[in-house]
Amino acid sequence: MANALLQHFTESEVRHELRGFPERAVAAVIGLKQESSAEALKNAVPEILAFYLPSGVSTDLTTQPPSARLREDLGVDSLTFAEAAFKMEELFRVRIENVELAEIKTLGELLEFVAQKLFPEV
Amino acid sequence: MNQSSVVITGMGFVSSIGCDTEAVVDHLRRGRHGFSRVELRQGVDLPIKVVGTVPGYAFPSPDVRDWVLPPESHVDLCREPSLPPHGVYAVDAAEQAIAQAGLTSDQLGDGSTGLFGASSGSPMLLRHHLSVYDKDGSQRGHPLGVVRSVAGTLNFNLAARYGIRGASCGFVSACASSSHALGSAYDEIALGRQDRMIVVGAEECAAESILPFDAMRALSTHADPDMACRPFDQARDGFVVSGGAVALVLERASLAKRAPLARLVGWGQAADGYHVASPHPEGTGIVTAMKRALQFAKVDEAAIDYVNAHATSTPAGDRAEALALRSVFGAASPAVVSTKGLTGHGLSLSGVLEAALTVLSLRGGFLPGNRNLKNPDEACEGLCLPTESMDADVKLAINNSSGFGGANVCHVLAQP
Repeated sequence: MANALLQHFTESEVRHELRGFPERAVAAVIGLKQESSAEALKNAVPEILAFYLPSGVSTDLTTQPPSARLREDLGVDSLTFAEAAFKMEELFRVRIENVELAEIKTLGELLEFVAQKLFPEV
Repeated sequence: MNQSSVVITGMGFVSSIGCDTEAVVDHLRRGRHGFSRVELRQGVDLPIKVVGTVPGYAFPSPDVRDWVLPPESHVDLCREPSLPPHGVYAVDAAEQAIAQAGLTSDQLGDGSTGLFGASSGSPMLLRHHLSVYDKDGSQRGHPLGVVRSVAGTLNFNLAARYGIRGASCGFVSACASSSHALGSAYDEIALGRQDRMIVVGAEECAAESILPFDAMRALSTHADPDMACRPFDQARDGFVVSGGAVALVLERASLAKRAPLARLVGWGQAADGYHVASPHPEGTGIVTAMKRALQFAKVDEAAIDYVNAHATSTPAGDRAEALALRSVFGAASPAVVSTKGLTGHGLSLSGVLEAALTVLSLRGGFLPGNRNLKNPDEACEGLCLPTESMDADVKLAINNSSGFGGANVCHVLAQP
């Protein structure tokens, strides 16, 4: 894939940005940096989102089906979503508008949205 | 004790002189201060070199991942991203107070319990969040930036954490803030609106909250932690800022499950009507506040054993309060002590901190001493200013606080 995703960060800078995240989340984002693929994105984005879940449980969002509803099924409230979006904006150097966030209802829609942002040519 | 009696049943300390009651009493009785040399800006030689730091905690940057908490802290930083540094202090103080009072989660959440907070917010985080917003023209910031940095952050965070469904409010009158919170909490119970109230005062004590006072030339520039803070002394040159948190649980006496620590008998307040930042030269507002508090409490001034003075170690403030005390007590001065000589000035925190220290004197049968008081200001003539801690049967005491705008508050506290 042509998009040099996350090349603005070295691996150690990614680790610095994700201090406090579980190692598997860090590994998923580093995997995304190395592969720059929509497939790798499917691991990284749920890991970032899971970190901000208010319940504190280490829910594995990577195994959830695309149809899982963010609010009703996964407990992602609006502030959790805003925190995760802010982190993705920092990491991926993208801008996510409020109206765009408001339209995302399921995990699948979120993954598709981020993929569109990062790999518009796909 | 009548139906409307208000008692204090829980206290929590996260302070420069200790993070539990035993440590705080030890500092008071032995005259040990809580000051340290610090470097507020790394590599910059600032005039302010001494502050009252809180042992076991460190907040070296706005990044929560750099923060250090003691093992006994109740805060999980990963799971509570809305807490500022002083919110962390506040949670740990509130946990101590709630445990001592024996309050259950049902009591906290059934609407009969309220919570009042007092702080300046977190200037460090406010500055940080705005810098992130402006960085590279991103116009994006942390979504919790507001609730973790503005002045109401204590009551936002703690009311949500404890499921408070009663009164919840923050108080902002600078260095009288938590004294207003405590007095107003008394009113909530005395007026029958709430059965119990939690009052929390806290300050973060970061460069962003300290240095603006240097711009006012209100801070001591003394470099020696042993000598910087000298309330009522002729050589005082300003106050020393300290951080931390103190929480008190107030309850309607008839409902308290645990033995009361002390009674809050009443309070009074009055403003100077004089200047935005300077006290009235003769302390007219604090005179009225003391008289109103004593009148409300139906206590004669001659019955007061101890005054926990506001005196911060500034030339103007200490002098005004000394003259006010002479005006109220005449030739029969009770013991007057500024515990800021030991703790430093906790700004919004100071009122509830000093109310709690006064409770320790009522309970423990001792007076703290005025640390570093060698040559009292001539305005103190006739005041009884002990310089060493001593045993004393303190039955009735008052606690004074003053803030910007000439706001003055006085609490009357008694043995249970």
